[in-house]
Amino acid sequence: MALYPMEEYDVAVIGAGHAGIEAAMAAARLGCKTVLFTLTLDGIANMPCNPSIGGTAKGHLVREIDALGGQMGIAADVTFLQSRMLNRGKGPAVHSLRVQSDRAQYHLYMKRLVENQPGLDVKQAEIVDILRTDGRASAVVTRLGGVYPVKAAILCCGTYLEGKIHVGEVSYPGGPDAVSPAVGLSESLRQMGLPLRRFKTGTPARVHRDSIDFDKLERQQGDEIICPFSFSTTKPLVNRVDCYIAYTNEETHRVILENLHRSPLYSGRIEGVGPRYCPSIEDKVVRFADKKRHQLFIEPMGLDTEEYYLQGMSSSLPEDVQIRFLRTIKGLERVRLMRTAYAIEYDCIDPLALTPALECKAVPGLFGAGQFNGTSGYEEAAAQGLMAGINAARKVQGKKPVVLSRSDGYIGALIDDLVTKGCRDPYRMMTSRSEYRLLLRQDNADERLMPIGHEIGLVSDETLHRMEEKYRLVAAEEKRLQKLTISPDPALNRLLEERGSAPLTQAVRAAELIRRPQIGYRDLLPYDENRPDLPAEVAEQVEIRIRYAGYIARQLRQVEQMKRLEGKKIPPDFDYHAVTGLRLEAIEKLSAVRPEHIGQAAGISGVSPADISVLLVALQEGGT
Amino acid sequence: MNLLAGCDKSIVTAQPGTTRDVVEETVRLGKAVLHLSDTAGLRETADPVEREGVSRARRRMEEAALLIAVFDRSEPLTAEDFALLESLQGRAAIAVLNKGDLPAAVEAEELRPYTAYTVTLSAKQGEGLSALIEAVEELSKLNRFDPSAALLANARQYHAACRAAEAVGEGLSALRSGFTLDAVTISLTDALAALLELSGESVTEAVVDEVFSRFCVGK
Repeated sequence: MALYPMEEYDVAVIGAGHAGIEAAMAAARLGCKTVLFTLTLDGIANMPCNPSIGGTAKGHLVREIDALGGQMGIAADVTFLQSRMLNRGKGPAVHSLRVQSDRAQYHLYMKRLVENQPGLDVKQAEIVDILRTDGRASAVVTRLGGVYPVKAAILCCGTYLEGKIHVGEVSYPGGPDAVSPAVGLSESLRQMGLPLRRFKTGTPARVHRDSIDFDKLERQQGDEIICPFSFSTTKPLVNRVDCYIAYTNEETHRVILENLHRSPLYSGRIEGVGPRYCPSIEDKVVRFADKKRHQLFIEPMGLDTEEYYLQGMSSSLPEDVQIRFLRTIKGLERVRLMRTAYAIEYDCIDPLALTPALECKAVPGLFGAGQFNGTSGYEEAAAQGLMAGINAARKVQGKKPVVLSRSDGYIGALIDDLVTKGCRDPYRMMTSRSEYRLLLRQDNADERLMPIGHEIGLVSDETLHRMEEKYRLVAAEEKRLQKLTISPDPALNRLLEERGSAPLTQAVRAAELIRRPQIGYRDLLPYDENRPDLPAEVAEQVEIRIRYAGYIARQLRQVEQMKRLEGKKIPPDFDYHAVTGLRLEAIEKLSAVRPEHIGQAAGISGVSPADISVLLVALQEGGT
Repeated sequence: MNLLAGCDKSIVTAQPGTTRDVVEETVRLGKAVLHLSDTAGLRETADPVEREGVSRARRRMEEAALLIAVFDRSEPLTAEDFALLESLQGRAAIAVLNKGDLPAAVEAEELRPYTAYTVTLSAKQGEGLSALIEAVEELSKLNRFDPSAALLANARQYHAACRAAEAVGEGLSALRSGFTLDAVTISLTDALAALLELSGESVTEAVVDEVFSRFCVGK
């Protein structure tokens, strides 16, 4: 193939999905001359699976992305159809925002965004090769032979890398939504010594609205008061659609079980590892054989389409079986498929080969983000894309990488998990993956991360000052409530007793009352004449801070513990083989991961506390 | 002292005020290993050397985990004896009536209001030692020690177990007062961390410091 030189860029982003957009926007906004390559311009920010943003723990990621100056939260607010705060009954740590999105509008919004970003070129081209100079990534090559010299490149290839689609007994090379797979790039990466592996994921069928009997389904409405994703969204938001809930039954399960032999998963044609936490319906029926029914959500794909998405029903069974089992479900008896469910296999990297800045250890200047790094989900992808984009730009500009700690946010935990523990199946964010859930709430992502986003250069002075003003009001109101006394009052005592809380016998501080889980900040309004008129998000912070003060303090002490371990740095060229007393498995794992500090080393699976003690002694010997 | 040490460690005479320095010895008494300090008898005296001995004895009494107060059974209790008995109250203490081989001028009953453990023995004849051993084991609870039960071997482990118990208690009270699980789990995380530290399954700063405090790392 004849190669020809093309324009030079600082940063090339390969793939314009949720990771690629954040990466490209961040790099360009930080002043790098950036190019964003996509297999098709019509697939920018595509949602090949659920037309939805957020959800448990994923909602935290979106708010953190927004606080750092990323794009996903703003786009989600502009294009959402229905919004719900999940887990409201379970305490502030696990409240998670989730919206149903208009898939086409989301794509258009993001396409316009990247097209109009100064310093960013968007090109439809397939990258088939990465060139190196002195071991560092130095150029990307298109299928047509164009060579773009670059200082850094970010791989955001999603499920397209050697993608292979499976539906029943049929399989063929392909990416999601009938886009061609990326062919050849994998080979280039393998030749550089990058450890690639095969993962698998799946998506359910899309069906026509007219073929659903909605009156047989449970209706699920959005929240009355909508909390936006972005801290900068100020205009009121309204729900545009309803979603619906249906259930499988024993007949559904019978049809699935009788046809398992026609599934590529069970016949062994799929070698890739699927996501444990997002199983296909046939997986659920087999693994949870005692469950008589499984829930599914029926969700619109957008306002300008009749397509509906069947959340919870991903499958790789043959098309005829899909139709048969769907038609056993109440409300879907005459359902008509528009897109068949499928499973897709793709190449991705073992994330242990990445640094905490998401750069390939073996190839400086080459970064990875999203499904390429072994994760699952748009939000996980966007979070990594943002960090990879920031760090690629900083590398080009000769700055130190920004690495978020596990105590900074879910993004820190996500990336630390990936590069320290690795993943054996597509990694999905969950609240249980963070040790510091009560500190890392979705409601305070602005307080936690906006200063960092501002320091990086992605958050404006104005946004930062607005945040600071919000928390100044919070602190003042908290202080006022610590002083304000509330006297026993018949109405108040009635309320307390109704809620199962002890009535007052003497005057108490307002803050003490709010500390009771049964009583809220708003409940005390009638007994608080001088209360200032505060925005809802300020009142929310005041209540959480007062009520959970003791627990927050406790968790801060836990953070301190970890910070001390993080403070014990390990030299990058440390020779683990020279340490006597380390077990062989630990030597291998430590040499592969090359942890930056003892805290990270302790998180590696296969490294025991005894190994850490040995390591500490060795570091002490070498360091003093 | 000599009876327990099994050798002539302290000088013994009929003369009160013979012991002045604190004589120390580690002795095994039944299941217990005692770091024994033989001190001067507590009494008013004009002799400056003996007075120093008495004040050293008082200091050692303050520090001791177990007091063994020895009284002469053949003589009636003196005002100084009663003062000593007063100071045994609320302490882990055994009152020993020595010279059990001589006619009694003091009955064990007289000492009961001051300490639950009274032993009559004869140091000279070597009699009544088993009663003293029993009292020491009872006081140190060693007789209730089950070698197959879980064992907290040092202060760090003990504190970790206490921290775990305290954290579980706080978690329970948070749950009872209506807090959501996201708050309750913070206490449970602390409890778990303390237990993992105890079992060596997690690395914390405390363990790390312990490693360095107990091993000479060298250069």
